[in-house]
Amino acid sequence: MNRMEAVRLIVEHLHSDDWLIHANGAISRESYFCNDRFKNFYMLGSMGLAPSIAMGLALHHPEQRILILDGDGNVLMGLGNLALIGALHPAHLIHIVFDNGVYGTTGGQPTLSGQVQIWEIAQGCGYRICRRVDGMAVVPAFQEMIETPGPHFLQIVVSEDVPFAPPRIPFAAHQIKERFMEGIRF
Amino acid sequence: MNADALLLMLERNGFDFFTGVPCSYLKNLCRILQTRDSTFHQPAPREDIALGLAAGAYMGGKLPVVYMQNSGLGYSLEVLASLHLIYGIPVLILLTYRGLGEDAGWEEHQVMGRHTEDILRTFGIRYSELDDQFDEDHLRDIRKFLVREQNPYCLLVDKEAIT
Repeated sequence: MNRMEAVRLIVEHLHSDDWLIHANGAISRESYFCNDRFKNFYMLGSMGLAPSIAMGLALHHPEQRILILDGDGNVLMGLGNLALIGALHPAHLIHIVFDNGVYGTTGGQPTLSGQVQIWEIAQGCGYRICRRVDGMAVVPAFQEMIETPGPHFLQIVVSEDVPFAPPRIPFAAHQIKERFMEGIRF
Repeated sequence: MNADALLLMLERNGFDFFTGVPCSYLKNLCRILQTRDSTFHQPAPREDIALGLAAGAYMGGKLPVVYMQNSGLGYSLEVLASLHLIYGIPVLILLTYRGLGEDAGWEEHQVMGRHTEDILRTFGIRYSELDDQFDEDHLRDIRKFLVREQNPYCLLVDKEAIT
């Protein structure tokens, strides 16, 4: 399974109320391409910080389901976020990591995820269910996480294959913010 | 200014979420903040994460304050450049000004102390000093700036500024 297929699998199983916070780069663009929604926040830069943004939202909207669509390079850059989320244990936050083992948008240089078990770090930090899955195991693992109080960590192993480059997100940064804030108006 | 008075003034002017990384210059303020729950004050493991939390809190309806030492400004610059300054995320940054005067004896603060204001100017981040003259009118102006310009604003905090 490549990342685009895994992203599609997740976005097909969303609830329309879910808020999605995306890591920068290909993950934002692939999710935008598969299923753009007003309740999607696309990070253009600030690599590693999608979980911080999600946690800032979760603190003030504890009943809201929030999904982080993250990458292995992003998670490794912001490991402190795992400690923060584990410590605060937001019950409706699911941290999904598409793990292709490389920095895809910069030419496929390897990340440390080949040598380090990221999901075990999340477990050590206090996430509730932590799984490393691929292929057909993704949907049942995701369903289990939806039905159980979190926070949860779903590491999805994907191939580096990129069948085609998804288009750039056609919004300026301030439009992404305004659209998202409009979408989540509470 | 007294830490209690400062916090009351900030709350009166709509600031309702605090995060950051402590500095000895802020110990009185932090002591009060620590008595509050995590929906009002949540410390962060690093300054960039504090800014990310603040961005989420803002989009979730809060007006955030991030406190940090100027050493944390280094970790924060990329986040300010590619998140707050382009998306338009208002946040008040209480930035302690290490490396001034006799504090320059701490070698690790010398370089950042010398260049803090240059960096803020280069990045186009508005700032002023939390000095003896600072009062509620200044804070109201800062709040107006944050809401109107949707941009960060930085208050520089010297050693004895918050007691």
